[in-house]
Amino acid sequence: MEQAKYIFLSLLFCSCIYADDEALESLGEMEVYTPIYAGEEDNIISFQDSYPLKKPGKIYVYGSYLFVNEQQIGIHIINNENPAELEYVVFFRLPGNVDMAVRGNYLYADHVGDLVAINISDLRKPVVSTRIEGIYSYAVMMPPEPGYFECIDRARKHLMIGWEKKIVENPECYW
Amino acid sequence: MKKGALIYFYCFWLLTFCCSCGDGSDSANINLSGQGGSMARFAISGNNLYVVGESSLLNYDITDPAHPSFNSEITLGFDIETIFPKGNYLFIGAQSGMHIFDVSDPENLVKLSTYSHIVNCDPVVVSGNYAYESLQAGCGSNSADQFEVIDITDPANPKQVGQYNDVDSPYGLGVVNNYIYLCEGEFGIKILNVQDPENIFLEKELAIDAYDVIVIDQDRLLLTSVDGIYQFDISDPITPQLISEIPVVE
Repeated sequence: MEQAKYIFLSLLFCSCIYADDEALESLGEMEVYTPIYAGEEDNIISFQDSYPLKKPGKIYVYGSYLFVNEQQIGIHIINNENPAELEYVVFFRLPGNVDMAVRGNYLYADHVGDLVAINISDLRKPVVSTRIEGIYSYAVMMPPEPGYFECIDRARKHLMIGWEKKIVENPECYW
Repeated sequence: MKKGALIYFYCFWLLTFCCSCGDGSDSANINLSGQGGSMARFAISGNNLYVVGESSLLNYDITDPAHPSFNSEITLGFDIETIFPKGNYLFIGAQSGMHIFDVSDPENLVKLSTYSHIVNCDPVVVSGNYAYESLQAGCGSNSADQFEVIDITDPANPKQVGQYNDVDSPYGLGVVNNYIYLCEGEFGIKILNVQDPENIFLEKELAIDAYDVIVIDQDRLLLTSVDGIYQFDISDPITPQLISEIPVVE
């Protein structure tokens, strides 16, 4: 494995150098992963009964509840009162979400780069009480598969909520 | 894209998928706040919410829980990854080392020390007088996979007292009494006996592809993996028993 890792790393660095090479300008149009940035519609936090668990990220335990981040999509809330039978309670859709913490009746989480405080005393009637805009920008990730991709716009990276495949002319990034 | 940026993104990729695991319990506030993992970027300690961004520690006052208010920002460098609260201290994991802050006065956070190591991804958990770090190669050119025990009896002067090198690809970790649950992704979980930090040994390996763990009430493990969420009973710490799971939907 060690060997595989070093080979992988070597490839990575070779790729970086190669990607800086002028020869790449002849790539032309390619279907590659491009960043999805949050739009107006993503500024709304919505709530739904459940959402399929696809890419679990950060986890958080509060009392008999489990909070499971669905990477860049939102937070699953699961009742763990009976640990033998986990039970979905609700899914909070918070585009761009990476992390969270809970204290008392409040969930603190990141949402498209903002910090939100959500009153969860009634999990089925969550209420956003405070939003602090643009507190940080770390929700950056690599495309799902290696290869060329459209570079992430640093000025908007805090708004990044995922990747989609698109036709791009001369993609400049590679991993 | 320039090479530096790519390395940066690569580390973020590692961070997102690998390094996330641990016991984030804060005994002082166990009844008020919950617990996150060793790679958490959010932590609650006392009446404050601490968030680590790429390069700084942000401090929000949540005395009025509905209305967090910005308190301060401390710049730490570009490579900040994790935050772990314990008592009056915050343990902040960066690729270049572990910063220890005294937060007994939230208005005046005091950096006590920085325990430096080779450049790695480094989730950290704390129990008693020890900090346990899982050092994952990949973020630095001269790094190696490793597990370290650091004596933090004097938080201003942390000292390495033990290490274990026979690890494959350590990501996150959790600690229960004298046992460490070290998540190694596709390589499974290693249960290490750390009773004697100078003589750490492997108790057992579990074939579970996990990258994140939280210890619940000292007797359960909550694991997150690419395959789903798992909960194990660890009444017998070296013989975890599966009690529930939520599989990932393909």
